[in-house]
Amino acid sequence: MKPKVWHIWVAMICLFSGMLMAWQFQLSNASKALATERKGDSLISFIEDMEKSTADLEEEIGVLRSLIDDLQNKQVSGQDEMTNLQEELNLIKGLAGMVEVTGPGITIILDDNVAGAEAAKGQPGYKPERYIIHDKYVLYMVNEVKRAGAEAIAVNGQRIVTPSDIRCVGTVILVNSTRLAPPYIIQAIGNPEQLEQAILNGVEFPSLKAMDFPVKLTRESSITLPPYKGSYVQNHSQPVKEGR
Amino acid sequence: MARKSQPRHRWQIPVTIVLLATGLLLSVQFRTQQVLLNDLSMLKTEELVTIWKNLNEKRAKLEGEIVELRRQQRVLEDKSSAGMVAISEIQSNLNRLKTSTGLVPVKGPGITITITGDSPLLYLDLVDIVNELWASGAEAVAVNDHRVTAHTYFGDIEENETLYVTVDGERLLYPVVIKAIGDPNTLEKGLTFPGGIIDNMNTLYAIFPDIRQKQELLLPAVKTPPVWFYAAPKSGTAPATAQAPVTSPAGGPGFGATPGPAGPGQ
Repeated sequence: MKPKVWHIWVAMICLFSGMLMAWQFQLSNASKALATERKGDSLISFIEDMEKSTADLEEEIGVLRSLIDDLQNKQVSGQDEMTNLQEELNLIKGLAGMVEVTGPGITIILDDNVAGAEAAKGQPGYKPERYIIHDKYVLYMVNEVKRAGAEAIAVNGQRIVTPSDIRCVGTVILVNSTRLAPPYIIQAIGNPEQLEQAILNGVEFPSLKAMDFPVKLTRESSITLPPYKGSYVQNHSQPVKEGR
Repeated sequence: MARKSQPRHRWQIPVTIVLLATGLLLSVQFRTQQVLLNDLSMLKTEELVTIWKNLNEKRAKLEGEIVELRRQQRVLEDKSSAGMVAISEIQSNLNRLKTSTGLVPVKGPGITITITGDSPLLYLDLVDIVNELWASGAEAVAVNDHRVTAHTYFGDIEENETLYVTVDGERLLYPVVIKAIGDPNTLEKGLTFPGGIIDNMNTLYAIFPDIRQKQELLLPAVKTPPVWFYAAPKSGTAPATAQAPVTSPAGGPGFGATPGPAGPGQ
């Protein structure tokens, strides 16, 4: 029987399959051999351990990164709050007289009537207290300067704030518990014309003038008042939250 | 034709089977090969060492990264806790100043001074009393629930031939009640010592104020927070918004660089 073409084909395919099977067998044998040979090989377990630990590390890095993101976001909002608070604090500090202020206004100078005292000395009925500026004159003058619309006031460099007191010990005038000496210079920031008119047509300035005290008032285009250097004591008072 | 097709049918079956088997074998072969390629045990020792070295380097880098991230985390946490401290410090400072400047209501122990309508009271007496209260350590003062601040002034107006005492231009109705927060004893002693202000008022002006110590007083906030049109805080400490008249969101205090319509009413 003469071999046909398909016989050749089948033979070739069989041959190829046989080769494949042989290779397959060899491979699986070899792998078994290798596996047994390297069973105790620590290198592989090293590598496997290391792969596990690097995966753990990567996970930890992920967690840390999100933590840091959170912190940074918080910080940004904290900074916003901080800026707002600081702005508010600056504003309140200004109103509390804790910041130097500049502006137009007036200067009032009250001085003892030295000339009058000299002339009256030795004469009968001489009363030295009639020729000196008393704490009340300064106190009432400051009240009138406030009434005239002053925004900020200082007496001999002592800023007038809410708890400021003006009094005397003997012949010495104290403002904010600081000793002052004549002449007493009251500086006020505000509308110069308005302040001047109110003071000149008020009570205190004309009456001191009538008593022959050397008093002076000048308009100022720009004066600078120092900050209040004292403290705001709060041992008994508690702020009350407004219903907001 | 029918005869010829018969043998062709016969050989097609074995060929099909053989081809199928070959295909199966091929796929199995391929898979085995893949598994073997992925299995470390199939690698040579030098290759394993290379992998190990790479992993070692990678791990060192990751550990370095973690150290750096932990440092960042610590810095941020320190900063944010410092920020919290700073914020609460500013807040308490702010509260103190708001209380002292009369921007918020305030409560505490203190005294009340009541002056009835039959007293020949002058506004200068009120200036004196309030001044004396500050000198005696008062922390907050209000006159007929009108909070006294750095800008508060006393005066008088004549209406229908009657002289009325005013505070910040507002008529005071009798009885005039002055409330002061502070140590009640100190405040009372500051006013009532012999030769003191109350003594003088009694003997010189026949005004007999009634002083009472109180455990709890409530003083209101100022009605209109001050707004400055002429006074400007020195730059550097000034708020960033000092360019134009500014009022705080709640219609609160502010500074302005341009003159306003008018000063406080007289």
